[in-house]
Amino acid sequence: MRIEHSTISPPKGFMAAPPGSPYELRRRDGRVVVEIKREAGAVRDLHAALIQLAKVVKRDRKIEWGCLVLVRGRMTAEKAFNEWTEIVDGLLDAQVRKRLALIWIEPGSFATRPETPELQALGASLKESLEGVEAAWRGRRANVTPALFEVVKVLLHAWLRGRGPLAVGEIQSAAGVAYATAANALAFLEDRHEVTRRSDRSAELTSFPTASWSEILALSESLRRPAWYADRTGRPLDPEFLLERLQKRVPEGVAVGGVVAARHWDPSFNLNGTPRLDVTLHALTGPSLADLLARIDTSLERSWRADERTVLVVHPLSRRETFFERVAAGPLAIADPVETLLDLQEMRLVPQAEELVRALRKGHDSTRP
Amino acid sequence: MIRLDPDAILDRLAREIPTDLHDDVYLIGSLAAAHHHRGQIELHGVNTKDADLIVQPVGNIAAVEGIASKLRAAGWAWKLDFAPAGSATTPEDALPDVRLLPPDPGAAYWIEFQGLPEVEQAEPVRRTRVVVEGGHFSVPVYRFAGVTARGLRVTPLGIRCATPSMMALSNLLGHSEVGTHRMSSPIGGRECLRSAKDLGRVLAFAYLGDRREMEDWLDSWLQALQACFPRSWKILGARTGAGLRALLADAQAMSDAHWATTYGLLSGKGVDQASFVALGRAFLADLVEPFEDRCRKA
Repeated sequence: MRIEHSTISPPKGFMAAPPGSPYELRRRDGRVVVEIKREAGAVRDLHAALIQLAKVVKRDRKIEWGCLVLVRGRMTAEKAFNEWTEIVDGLLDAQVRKRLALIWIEPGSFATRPETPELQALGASLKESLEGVEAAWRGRRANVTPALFEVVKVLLHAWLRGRGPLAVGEIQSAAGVAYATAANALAFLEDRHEVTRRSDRSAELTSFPTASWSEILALSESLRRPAWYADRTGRPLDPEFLLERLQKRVPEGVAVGGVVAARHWDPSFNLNGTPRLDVTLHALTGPSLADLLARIDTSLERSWRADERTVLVVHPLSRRETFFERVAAGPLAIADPVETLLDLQEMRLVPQAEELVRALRKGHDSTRP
Repeated sequence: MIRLDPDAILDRLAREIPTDLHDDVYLIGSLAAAHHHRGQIELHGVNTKDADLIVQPVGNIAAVEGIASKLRAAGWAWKLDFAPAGSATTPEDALPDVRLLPPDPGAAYWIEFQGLPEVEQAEPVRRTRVVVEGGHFSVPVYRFAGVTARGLRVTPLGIRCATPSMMALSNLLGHSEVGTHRMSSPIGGRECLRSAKDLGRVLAFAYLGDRREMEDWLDSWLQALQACFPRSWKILGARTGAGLRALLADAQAMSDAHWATTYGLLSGKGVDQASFVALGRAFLADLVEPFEDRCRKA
């Protein structure tokens, strides 16, 4: 089983960025880093991505090019380049400005700013790599609906926990979708050979649903709608302190996810420290976002995307069944393994996510037919 | 303004102040704070000029005469470059503070004396005349300094230090507005607002402090304020954050606060002004406003 964060195979000389990096690819010598934004819709997405990249470039003087790649953006190329020029020329200092590049890729063509031979070559390679997955991309938005997302999560939860097949009614009820929607989703997954049906029409995953999961990850932000919060005070980030505060005033409908939950699900989970606090907030039974923040830290500021100052991420959960796990050791519930996996993926802790799947399946694979 | 190693200077103070005087005084200000946070600032040291000593107990201002005389006998010298000693005819508000230089000519600091206020002191500062070796000086007694006497920490060599928690409360209460009074000695070449320097220091405590420990500040603040102002603590406590709010609303004053603090306790920390403002807002929301609420609703 391999969980891919990126749907692109790195161009020659490049590799996937290390887990937790604020960009997607880096050249092996570390002198070029590449962040890829797919279907970026708003100008603010471009601004946020550019600012993030500028910070990376400013911090690491070894980086010669920090490249932002916009793929199938919903704004025009002209608009993107104009915005780019305005921000880069107007706001950034020369040392950073001259090391930033924008690469625009759409089906059949690409463009770069600036237009150096090196960037043109990189643009061509990236376009080629991305065209290899274009077919999947084209159908992706239609395939992964919020309802399918919930159904896959319910099935994956049962599979990871070795719960065996689920009746359609169980799936429908847990996911909080209509019976017909659940049935359609199962039929779709069955066509992909990701689900097998029993004679009583109950369903379970055949294995880890790699294809659907990959599509879910590509649209994870829009499906999950996380709210990121940053500490702008300059103090050392202390997510464990935020966790302690939450534990003192635990509300209903809230569970801790991310690295904290991963350690619960896999006691040998291999990661030093806690990079941020991930919290799952149940829309039906949980407190309001404002109430939750008041319990954790009123001074955090909402940000448009995750960055190195992100200390808290709140993930709304809209389905009926929470799958939260109560633990005797503490007052706070633990988010289910699937939400935990998604949190790890968001942090680009891909090897750790894979290891968590293996740990959770351990024992189930050998005992089930 | 000079860079001092807080532990070294405290050890030196402990040796240079006769042992029998240790129980009569305690240290406040940047050196006391630097001692508390020595783990976080030891690589950088702290920029300061003076060591402020408060004389205990309350009303023991006359003891300054005895302590200063003993220090003089032990080789301490007058520091009179701010102003010469006054005479019997000099008005109290024109008298110089009691400032002494340690015997070692290489020591790059001096000490200043303050007194402890009586319960419910109403004036922002009350000056008391003392006479040492025929010269007339004044000892300032600041209205909110009394809270700093609570929970003193003792250094290994026996010098007692005020805690950041209590110095923060004293500074917050001591400045209900930004005002116009500027420091007599420039900080990094800039004549900063007094309020900005003192309130900026509160934010330095917020930056350096352990947030887990700071959760206990509310209770200790309440106890200290009630002890020092048994009649007016509710009114005073309810406006604890007035000066900090005014500072945050005044860009120039905030710039002074940031400047003074980055020359002081946050030297070398790389805290930019935007972070400093965010820190101020966070401190206000996390601690000061809940404290005001508790006082208001009590």
